[in-house]
Amino acid sequence: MVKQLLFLICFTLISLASWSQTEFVLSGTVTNDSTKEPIAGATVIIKELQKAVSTDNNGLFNFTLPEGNYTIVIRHIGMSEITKAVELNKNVNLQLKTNMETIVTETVEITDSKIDGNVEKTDPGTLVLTKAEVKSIPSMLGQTDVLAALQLYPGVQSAAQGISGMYVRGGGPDQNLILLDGVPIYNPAHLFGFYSIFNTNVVEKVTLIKGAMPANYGGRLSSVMDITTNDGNDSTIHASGGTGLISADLTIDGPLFKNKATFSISGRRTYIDVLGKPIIQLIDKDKEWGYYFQDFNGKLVFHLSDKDKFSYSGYYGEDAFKILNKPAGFGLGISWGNATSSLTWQHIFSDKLVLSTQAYYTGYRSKIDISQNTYEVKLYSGIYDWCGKSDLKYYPSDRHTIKIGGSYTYHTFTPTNIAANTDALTTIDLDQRIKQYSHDVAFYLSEEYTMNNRLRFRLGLRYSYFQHVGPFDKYLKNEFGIITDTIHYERGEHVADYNHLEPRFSARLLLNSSSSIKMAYVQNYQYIHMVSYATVSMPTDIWIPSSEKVKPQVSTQYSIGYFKDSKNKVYETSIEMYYKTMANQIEFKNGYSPEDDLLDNPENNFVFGDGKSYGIELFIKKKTGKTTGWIGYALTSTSRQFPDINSGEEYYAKYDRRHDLSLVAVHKFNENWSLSGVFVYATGNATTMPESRYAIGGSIINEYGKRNNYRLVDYHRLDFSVTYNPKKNKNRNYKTFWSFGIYNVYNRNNPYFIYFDDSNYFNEGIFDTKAKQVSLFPIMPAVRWEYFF
Amino acid sequence: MNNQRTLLLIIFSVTFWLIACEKEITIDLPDVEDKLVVEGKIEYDGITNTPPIVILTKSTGFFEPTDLNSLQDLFVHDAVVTVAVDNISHQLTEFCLSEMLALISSGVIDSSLVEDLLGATLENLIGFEYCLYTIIDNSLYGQPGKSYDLTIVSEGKTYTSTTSIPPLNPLISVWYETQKDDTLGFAWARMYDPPGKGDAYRWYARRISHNGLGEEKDAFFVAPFGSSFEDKFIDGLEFDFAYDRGHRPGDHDDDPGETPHFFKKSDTIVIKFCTIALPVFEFLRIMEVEANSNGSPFASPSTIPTNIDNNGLGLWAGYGVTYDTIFGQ
Repeated sequence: MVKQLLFLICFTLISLASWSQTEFVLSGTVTNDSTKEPIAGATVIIKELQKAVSTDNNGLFNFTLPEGNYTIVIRHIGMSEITKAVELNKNVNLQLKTNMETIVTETVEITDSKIDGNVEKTDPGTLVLTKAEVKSIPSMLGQTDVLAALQLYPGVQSAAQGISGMYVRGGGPDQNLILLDGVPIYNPAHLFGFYSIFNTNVVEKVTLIKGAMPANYGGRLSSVMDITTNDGNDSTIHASGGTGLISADLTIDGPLFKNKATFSISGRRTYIDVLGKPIIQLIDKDKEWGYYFQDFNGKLVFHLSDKDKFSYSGYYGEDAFKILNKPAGFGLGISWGNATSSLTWQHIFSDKLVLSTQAYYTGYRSKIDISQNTYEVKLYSGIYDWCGKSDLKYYPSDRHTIKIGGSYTYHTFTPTNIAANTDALTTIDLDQRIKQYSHDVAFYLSEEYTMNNRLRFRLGLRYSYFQHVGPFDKYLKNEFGIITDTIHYERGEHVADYNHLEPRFSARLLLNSSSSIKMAYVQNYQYIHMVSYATVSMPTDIWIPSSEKVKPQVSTQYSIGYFKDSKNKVYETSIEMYYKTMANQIEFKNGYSPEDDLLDNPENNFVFGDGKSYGIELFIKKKTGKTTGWIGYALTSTSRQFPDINSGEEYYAKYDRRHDLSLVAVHKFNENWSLSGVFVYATGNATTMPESRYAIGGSIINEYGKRNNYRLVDYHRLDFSVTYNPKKNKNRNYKTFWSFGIYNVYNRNNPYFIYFDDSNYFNEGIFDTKAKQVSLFPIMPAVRWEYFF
Repeated sequence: MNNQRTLLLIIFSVTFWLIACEKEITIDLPDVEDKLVVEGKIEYDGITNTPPIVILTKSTGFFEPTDLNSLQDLFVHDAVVTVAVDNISHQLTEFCLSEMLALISSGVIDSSLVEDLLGATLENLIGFEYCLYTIIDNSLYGQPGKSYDLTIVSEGKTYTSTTSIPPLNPLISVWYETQKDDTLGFAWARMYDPPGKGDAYRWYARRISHNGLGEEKDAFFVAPFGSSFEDKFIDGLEFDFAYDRGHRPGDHDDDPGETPHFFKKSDTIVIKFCTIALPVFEFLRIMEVEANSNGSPFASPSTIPTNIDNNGLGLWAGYGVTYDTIFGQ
């Protein structure tokens, strides 16, 4: 690993030494003229040299070029193209303003910021989605969703029907670093995972990195999903909102101080509980049932000077579910939610040097409350982080982009905690909150180097250090599983630590102006882990730190791809292959129940093993014209091998999916009407089935075969939606937009799970077992109305 | 707590009952080799000399019937079954139902022991060829603190297992306490767990008060859900606890006038409280977890940790038994 570090340093020094020729700096900022917000991810092309870069999050770009006359072209999704001639005989800084071609709520052409990036950009396995693209895709119950849209791309899978848990290239849902304005989100699920917590109306851009994760990202094995939200309009106050079948939302944004500060606030809530309550009361007044989710986003941006931008971003969301059966004395309440709060300061030292510093808090908690008469049990779980990080970007020349930075995070974990109360059990006090603490430190150095017009590299190295500290009680067990001793660690006392170097490498070889080959090698370490009790994402999932027994997860991924644009960039295509290994994967041990964690360390109930995934991903996209869309297909295999599961034999992971196909098409009839459709097909999930059974003590016991030895039937579904975008009535100061859709057009009964219905009346000689498949979401209508002021 | 998976299933059922649908499907499972299933117990209650009882059956295909008619074909006959204690080996003899009834009527073995193991009343079993292995010459019976080695030779394969009977731990007191509607309640008890982790217990209850037909309400002892527990949380403590009435696996109808889960204030209830070894507790606990998950997507399938070697299934268990009675009011 030391060799890798030396190589990176030498490479950086050697390449920096090569800029000694006479050149001038051509830099600038691209902003949205109507909102005054910087535009991130826009492609800036030097036409004569066929060179291109992307603007950063501040809208900045930078070239170092020989003296001469150049034509600059700026392109970005939904934005008017800018072409500007520049005479470069000194350092030039440009302030480029553009307008959006379409407002985000209109039906848009399926294009993304991979315009020219498909072939040109360095990293394979990177996707960029905008709000417009998310909104153009048919959705369940009219609730557009970022994660659901991402799952239509090859290599990104859902856990099960309608579930928004994301599995990227064979990795588990905890292996995705999900960032909202730079702040990690630990559970992106609303409604038990059927929707994500991201309100589409506040999303500016979503970047998904499933392959070559740059060194400035870390802490997860499989992917980065980086979501940035709107800063708010700098000129006038706008309001927008919408109403669908299950929820309504409202967003207001505008200037706080003209040209100095903006704000954006947004809220969303379901009204299932409000509509359902009178019906349930009518059916049975002794029973109560309710569910809702709500979330709020807020952002304040202060432009303190041309060089300083200060912003606050916050999110709060919660889900709450309850059942109350008064006659039976039974009650059940489940709630969970995330909260984030961050302060970010960006300072532009010069056109070549930008500093971004952020401090944030993020927390996720879940609670399950079960009561039966006088007996009550509560389960708590959560993870809470305080973090500070700083990133410095340096553009010494157009051939080099150097990023350097570091972060420190203090994690507090509350793995399963149980409190039990009953009138009589006064001698047992289980009301406790066991917490675990850890320090998480990382430093990185990344260099993107354009060697010539054809060859570009990105080299990165990340150093990560993780320390599990007290207070902590370590329970020691004998060979029979009996706790024989307890070691107590005081506050701050060292329990276990790990440190690793994580090399990252990607390269692009431009074959010609319309095709390239890209390859990447990444190694990632993950020090915090989510262990799932269920096969789908549930509030019962727990986050735990690496500890003496729980080693950091580590993955190594190799990927290579061929990228081609054709028909004057109307079509973009790619074919990518990857091979990924994962070590120190975690599962609960056989027969685990949450109460096993009581007075015990969670890691005593884990088993550990390895994983492997490989596959090929095809992608064909039509970007312009009246009909746009894409075809994504992935052929993959994902397996796990644990010494304590499946007799130590390798088995298919529960999210192994041999074939995964998505077809997306949007046809624009005219300025007002458009039609979109989605077809998805996927191999059925792997699941474990009993193969035999036996009777003991009057009970029938199932004897399971090999782990995940059976496949549910294949999944497929077709959705349509029609959007009507009427021309704005000049007499009104608002505009409306309608979307009508049909989900699961041919009413396919896709499997959610299988259970066995036993008519088991043993004493009477009656025994009959039927396999039943439960399906969710038959054909369903979707309606959504939106308005804009 | 053990109901958590069921509760999660309830949540989903309620949430999506309007939009979810289910249909019967056919699953093509591979043919698998039958395995020997051992269900054996040896008890000590300080009152009677109880011989070991071992029932041998075979596992069967998942969709094959396992009702009483079919089960009799699964009994394994002509096995050589021995139990060794204190380095002395005792061979058990196979008895089938007609012979069993004779043994019970002559008082050699207790009917409830047999019914517990078979999971059915002897009355219901008449006409079926049910068999078990035991010893009737009083040369071998359960004693606390001793270890019992089981060896089975059947169809050319040898299976072994070991269990022990832990020391007795009588309950301090038992009582009935009303939980609902003045007449319905649970059976309560106070116990003391001696210091030192690794103890485990199992609770059974049997209503011996009569129903409208003049019969005892329960023909045998019933272990409610979660009937076994260990002392991880109660080590060295004296404390009160309660159990609901429970029901036998396979029993679906109560007598008229009974309320599921609840005892009646007028019930006379015999409590059978057992000390068990930790592996026995683990078997019973995971068996309940598995019976409760039944393919639920909110749980992972569990493999029952048998203490029978050589790819056998089932349990060889020792029980240290004490009895208490709650008299109806």
